[in-house]
Amino acid sequence: MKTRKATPDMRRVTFPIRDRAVLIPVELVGTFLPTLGAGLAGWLLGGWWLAFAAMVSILAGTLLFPLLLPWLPFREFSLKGFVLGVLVMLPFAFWKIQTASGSGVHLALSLAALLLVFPAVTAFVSLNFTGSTPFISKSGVRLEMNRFIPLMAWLSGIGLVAAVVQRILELTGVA
Amino acid sequence: MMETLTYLDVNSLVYDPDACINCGMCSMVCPHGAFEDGESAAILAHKERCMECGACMVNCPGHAIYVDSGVGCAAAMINAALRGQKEATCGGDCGCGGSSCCG
Repeated sequence: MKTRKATPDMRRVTFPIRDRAVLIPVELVGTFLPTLGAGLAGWLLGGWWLAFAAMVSILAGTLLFPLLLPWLPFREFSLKGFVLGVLVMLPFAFWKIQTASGSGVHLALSLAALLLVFPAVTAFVSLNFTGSTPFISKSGVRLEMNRFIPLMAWLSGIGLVAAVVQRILELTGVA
Repeated sequence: MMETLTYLDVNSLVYDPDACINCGMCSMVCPHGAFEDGESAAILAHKERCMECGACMVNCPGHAIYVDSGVGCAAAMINAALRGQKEATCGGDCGCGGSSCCG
């Protein structure tokens, strides 16, 4: 300050954990209604555990993702988010395995739905964090969106089909 | 701890060393140190760090640098695509896309 000249360090932009943490409230407010909607949909479709899983999948992208950004594997935000989504769904998956009563097919379909739909949601929420960061290029985001948004749609679509098939089998008593 | 975060090695930065007058502005203004000072011309040492902010291009008197600068934000791009706008902008609630209310 004494020299009234910016040092090279002053001109550099970094993104330490403090800077990432202050963005969390903005992310939470921005996804407040979708989180509530996901919780309500989960509750109606599968009860409290599904409501909780749906809300956790979004909160992982808004709350945990900014904090864990440098330590998640891959450079693509979608892939980082997907990994995080799988990690936060693991407790739900273990709970499913512990409480499974039906056949192996039921359990496999439930797990496929759980580990495909919700990580894809976390991946999408994480992808939206690109705009909050000071090191992302427009060309890179465009490339990532073109590559991974269709993939997220496919994964969540396959997961939803698995969930529907599982529910049909359950209701009809087959397998 | 200083964390050096790098995104995908994809950007539109083009540098022509022949047009460089070695003024040192690019290495000074780049927020990620993509350019470094050289003997007779600036050196594009870390192209992968470029975030397409456009500071180097704006500050280059020799017009030796081109970059397609813009908002690297997936949410803004999705909003722009949904609204049929060509260019993504921040704070798109007003839907102005850089005119009127955005001054």
